[in-house]
Amino acid sequence: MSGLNLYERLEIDPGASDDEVRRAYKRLTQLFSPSGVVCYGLYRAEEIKALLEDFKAAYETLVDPERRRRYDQQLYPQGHPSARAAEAVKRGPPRPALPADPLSLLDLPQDAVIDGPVLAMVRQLCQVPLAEIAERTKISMFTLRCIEEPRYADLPAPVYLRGFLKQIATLLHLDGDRVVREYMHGVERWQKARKKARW
Amino acid sequence: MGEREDYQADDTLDLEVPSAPPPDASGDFGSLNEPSFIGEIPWHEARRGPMVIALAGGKGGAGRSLLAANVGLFLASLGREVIVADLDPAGANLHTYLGVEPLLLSFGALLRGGTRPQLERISGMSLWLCRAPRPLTASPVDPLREETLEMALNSEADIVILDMGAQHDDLTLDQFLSADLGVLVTLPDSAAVERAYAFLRTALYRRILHGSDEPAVIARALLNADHVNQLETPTALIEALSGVHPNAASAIRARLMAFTPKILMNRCRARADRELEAGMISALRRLWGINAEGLGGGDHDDIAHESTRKRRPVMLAYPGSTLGGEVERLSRRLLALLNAGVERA
Repeated sequence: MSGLNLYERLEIDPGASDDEVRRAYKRLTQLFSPSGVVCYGLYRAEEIKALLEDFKAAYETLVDPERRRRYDQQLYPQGHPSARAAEAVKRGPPRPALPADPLSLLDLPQDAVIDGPVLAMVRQLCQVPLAEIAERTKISMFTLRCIEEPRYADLPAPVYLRGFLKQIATLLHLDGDRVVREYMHGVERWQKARKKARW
Repeated sequence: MGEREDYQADDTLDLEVPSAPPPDASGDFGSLNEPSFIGEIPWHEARRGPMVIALAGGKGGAGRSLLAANVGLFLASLGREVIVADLDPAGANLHTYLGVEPLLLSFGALLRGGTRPQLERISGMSLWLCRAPRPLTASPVDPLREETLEMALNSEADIVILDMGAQHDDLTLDQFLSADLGVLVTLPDSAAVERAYAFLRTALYRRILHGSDEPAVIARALLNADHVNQLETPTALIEALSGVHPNAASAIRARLMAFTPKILMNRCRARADRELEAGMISALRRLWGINAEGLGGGDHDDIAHESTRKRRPVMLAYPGSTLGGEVERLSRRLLALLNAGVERA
């Protein structure tokens, strides 16, 4: 282990995202668990313990942006070799950091509720393309469009929708609870209206 | 122009190892600093003749014989001249998977013993069985097994598949180490994984520390003097060795790097099972510094049971089954690895 850098220890690319770091750590702790099959007949109990501590140390450094930056600088004094870093350069300059409270910039009336169009406006204001949200949250583009339009009839079941809204809110620096509460309120109103129309 | 293309196509299909070793064979280890004595170990010699796939180790019932038989049938169907040899001294049952009649021996035959392997031909594939009556001795050396092996290795076949069995005897270890592909078949359970590690440990010892050549002798002397078991892993051993005898250390390191067993996790049922192969490879690399390679685990299929029960080979009776697909995929992977080995040589 001593010869491996932290990325090699976690078996990931030096350009791995936070999510990939997390998944790699989870995978390795499960694989090398003392009760698992992989170590059985090969590692002693104390060796497994040392290995797991190594994983943990590597994980804790790599998920912390500041510590990871310092570690990268020390590991790659000539600059980051990752292909992803090169790709990011190709993509152009990074967009400005998201505002802390994007809602305040929108000039909304005092009693405005957050619904699909408001979410879309916040997203455009923050210059986040829909595809990026889809990539980072793994929510399909179709569902994201339905949420923004909003096309209530095509939305997923409320239990999923709440989770999706929370993820979108986190990405856009919005208050997740408020987004869920106000958006779901709109959904319920639509459902009631539809029932009435049927009768 | 057409002529030239034909010639090239033939060339790539030719599976034989080039008869003369490449002029700069020693340059292979250039980055690892010489060692001249590496050429002395027998399994490193440039071998002529058929390509060899040795299935060994693990645990009884892991699926070696079934895979050997069916991979052989598939490779034969691609037009390769294939010999599948049953060299399992204990559970020699390869014939059952191919529907060949069992051999019923009389006591008299057992008493007299026999010396010739039995040669069969099934769907364009040769099946060599060393199941003639053995002399009733307890000798660990089995002349019939050795003769069958010798004949297979010196045959005109393109590919020889050796079904070695699960035991750790010298013959099995040496074939596993010297084959073009040494394949360890194991199962996704603790017992089989432990057996697989035990086999690899013995094979690795034989690969890097066995023999009377200088590096091995020096390394063993160092290990003998290590009374507190500090030199637990090959990496630790090499590190200690490099302080005393750098040449021996680099020779041992070169052997360690050349030890690339193939692991096949057979009969996977769940996703966690399929991940075990990569897990084992990672565990071996971290602890021993070796580069094992996964063949991409095979899925469980009840057709294996059906095929064995009815004594009808999977690739002939159930080629469209899941297992048939797995065998085909595995065969193609093995063929690709064999061809890659030829290109490297």
